[in-house]
Amino acid sequence: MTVDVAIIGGGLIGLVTAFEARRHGLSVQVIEAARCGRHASSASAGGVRSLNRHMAEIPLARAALGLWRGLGQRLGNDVGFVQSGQMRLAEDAASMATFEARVARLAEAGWNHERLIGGRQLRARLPGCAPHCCGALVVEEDGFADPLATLHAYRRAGLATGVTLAETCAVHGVARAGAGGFAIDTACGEIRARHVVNCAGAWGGDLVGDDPVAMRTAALQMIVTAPVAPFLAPVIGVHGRKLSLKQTGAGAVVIGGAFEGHPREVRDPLAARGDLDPGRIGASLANAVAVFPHLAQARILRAWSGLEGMMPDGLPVLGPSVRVPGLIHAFGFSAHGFALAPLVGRMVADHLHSGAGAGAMAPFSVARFGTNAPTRQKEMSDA
Amino acid sequence: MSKVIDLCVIGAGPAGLAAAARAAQGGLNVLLLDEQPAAGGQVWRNAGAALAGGSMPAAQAEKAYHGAAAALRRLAASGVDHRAGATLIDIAAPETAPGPGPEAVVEITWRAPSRAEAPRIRQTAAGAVICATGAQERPLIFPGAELPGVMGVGAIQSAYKQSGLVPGGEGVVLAGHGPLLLLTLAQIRAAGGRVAAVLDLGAPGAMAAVARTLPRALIGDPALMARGAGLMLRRALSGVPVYRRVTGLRAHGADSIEAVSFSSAGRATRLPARLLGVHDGVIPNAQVSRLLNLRHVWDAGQGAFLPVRDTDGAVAPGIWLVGDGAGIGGAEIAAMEGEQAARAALARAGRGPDVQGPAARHLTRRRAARRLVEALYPPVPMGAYATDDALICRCETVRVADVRAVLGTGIDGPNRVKAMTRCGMGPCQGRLCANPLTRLISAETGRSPDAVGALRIRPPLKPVLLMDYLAPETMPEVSA
Repeated sequence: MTVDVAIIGGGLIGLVTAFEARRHGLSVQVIEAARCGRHASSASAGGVRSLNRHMAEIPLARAALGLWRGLGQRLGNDVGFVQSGQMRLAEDAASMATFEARVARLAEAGWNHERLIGGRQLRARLPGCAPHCCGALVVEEDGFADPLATLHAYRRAGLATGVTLAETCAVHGVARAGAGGFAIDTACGEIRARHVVNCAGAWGGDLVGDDPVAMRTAALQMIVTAPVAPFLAPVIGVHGRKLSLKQTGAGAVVIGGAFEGHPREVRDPLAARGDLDPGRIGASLANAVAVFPHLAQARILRAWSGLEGMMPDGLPVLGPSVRVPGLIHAFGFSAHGFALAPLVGRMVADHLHSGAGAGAMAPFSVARFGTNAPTRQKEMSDA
Repeated sequence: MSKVIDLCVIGAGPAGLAAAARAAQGGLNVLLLDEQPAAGGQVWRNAGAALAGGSMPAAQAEKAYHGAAAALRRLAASGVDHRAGATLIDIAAPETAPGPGPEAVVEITWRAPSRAEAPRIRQTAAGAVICATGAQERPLIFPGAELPGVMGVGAIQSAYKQSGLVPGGEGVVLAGHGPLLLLTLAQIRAAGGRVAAVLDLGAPGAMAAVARTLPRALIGDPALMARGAGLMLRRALSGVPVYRRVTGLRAHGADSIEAVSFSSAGRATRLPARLLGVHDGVIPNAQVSRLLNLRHVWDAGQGAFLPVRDTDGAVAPGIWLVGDGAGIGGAEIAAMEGEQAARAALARAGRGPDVQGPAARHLTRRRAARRLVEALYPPVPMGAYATDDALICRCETVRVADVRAVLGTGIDGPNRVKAMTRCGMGPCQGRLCANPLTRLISAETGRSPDAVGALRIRPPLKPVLLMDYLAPETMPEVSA
């Protein structure tokens, strides 16, 4: 039997793509080497952020926001989306100047969702933040969702509509078979498919065929505290610091950022993991108390790690392979794919269904890593 | 990372004390990390002070701390760097090393006892690690178990050993089964306390298993058997009402426990209670072996997962797991295992021949004796008490019904249940729910505990303050 679409990788991107492809009436097989959402999807802070996105990602992030608003209802399961706003703090005048320049640059490109606030307004909204913080960039309609709830909501909705899912089923190889089809050699037998979608996250680089990609594997680190008194509604980033911080409805403070642990046993899908780096956990926490001093008294409950694929320019690889017809990439989200997932999966599914959306995916084509492709500057991305 | 120490021993109970002292005597420099304020672990808690005539009469202390005095003297003479009050935060095993060798260094993250030196969270690199983190009581899941006044008999034991305290006054009820329950009963009565009733939750019909294991047990450890017989005798003589074949245990009360209800031999009974001590045996504290991602196999006799070990207790190059933390055996087996692992560590460091000491033969015999205890006191089946309204995760207020509700539709393992219900996400890090959760899922789905698996354990092993991680220059001024 040949399925219409084989999706390699049962993380959030893969599960969204599966759900959306199934809605178009395509037959869908998801192939997951470990368990769904084992890596980057579980080591996500759940930020739904259009703030401070790379210029190329802004259209995606803004369009995704609209999907998040009705998502729980659409899937029939809560995803924990809260429109809390997102803020990027400035700790000095130089940061404020950078923010002003960014707002101006966005306006030139026709974007006005990022708003600058000064120190007084900041203190009124965040009484707990350190006195030296002097302003912030804000997107009010941003927010956060619950990564695990989101993953399971898509998983359930997919299974309920006929998506087939194989877990602990590693892919050993993908070969062309016959006219425009693929034979996928897996730990649970051969799977034949008309299209293959590469949603393999940290392992996405293994499935690019001849497409030129230089991806790095990162062990994302997440930390959560015991509940503290409510002090924070928006999700916080800080200019010039590796930090993302939010408080959940239950009062727990979730601290992430770009401090990485150590990828281990990456070649063994069941053993692959990230080991935490205690020194860099300490560095993350030092950043957190620098802007919220009272958190020094919070209790650290748990830290964990998952593996993610990081691209050299910080942008995902999204869209058809340039060398292999029928292969579509959606990986390398470089630790900020969560917010984009509901949209990206839909774009890939639409493309599978009707060939639509090639233009919107063009900036993220794997072709940009070709010898003649210009290198993009990573701008102000805080992951 | 400044300097690499030869060996880090985690836990200063019988196993850890034996391992640390043996390794130090063999010439290794040894760091001994232990959470308690004084060496001895749970079984020899506060032994030093008690034996010096501190908290209890000398005759009682001699009985309670059999073997402790010699172990403590040996530690004191060994030159081991013993850090009392230190908390283990994380252990990172070397990345699958090509082979054993001194280059495989284990990174240990721990919290220093004192706040004086920031950061309190320290990292130590060790050429080898012996983990001896001991046992914990098996959580008993029944409605009302979370009420103040309901506690494991282990907690009653701790209060007795630490401060010579026993529960006094009316309304003290003990429920459960096993040697520690009997020991607690005997100690309470010896100290002049009163126990209103004992509710025997033990399974009837364990006698066939006992007959199978008793002969080897008697050969293996006559002393243990004699002490066990003495305890049983004392209970018979104590005049405490014993309710047998107890089912449907439930604790009642508004702000704290006021009564217990149960059915004994089919008859519904309700007793006033001010303190309910419960016990369903002890299981390995598996936090460390889970943190290390070791392979575990379910042991039906102990009703718990045990890490898979080599004969000398090795679980990875340079890492050993010994004592009750690797499989319940009691203090004497633990000490033997500690010795054995220390010999192996010495051999690996090129400081001694790689021979198994005489301990190996003794170990086999003592373990046979342990099987009798397991046969006498099999774990209380989950179905007998885990009613829908019983809390399985106290930290996050997750009830048995919440777990039952999410099972199915691919939610079939503890980590999925954790993601869906928050069971195991609280400050106890799954200590109180990991074992019952595996057993509950196994009972509900009909799959073996091995197929069900267990909760993943995340660092920090114990909650720590954020400021414990901070160096002085990053410490905010407002913090107290």
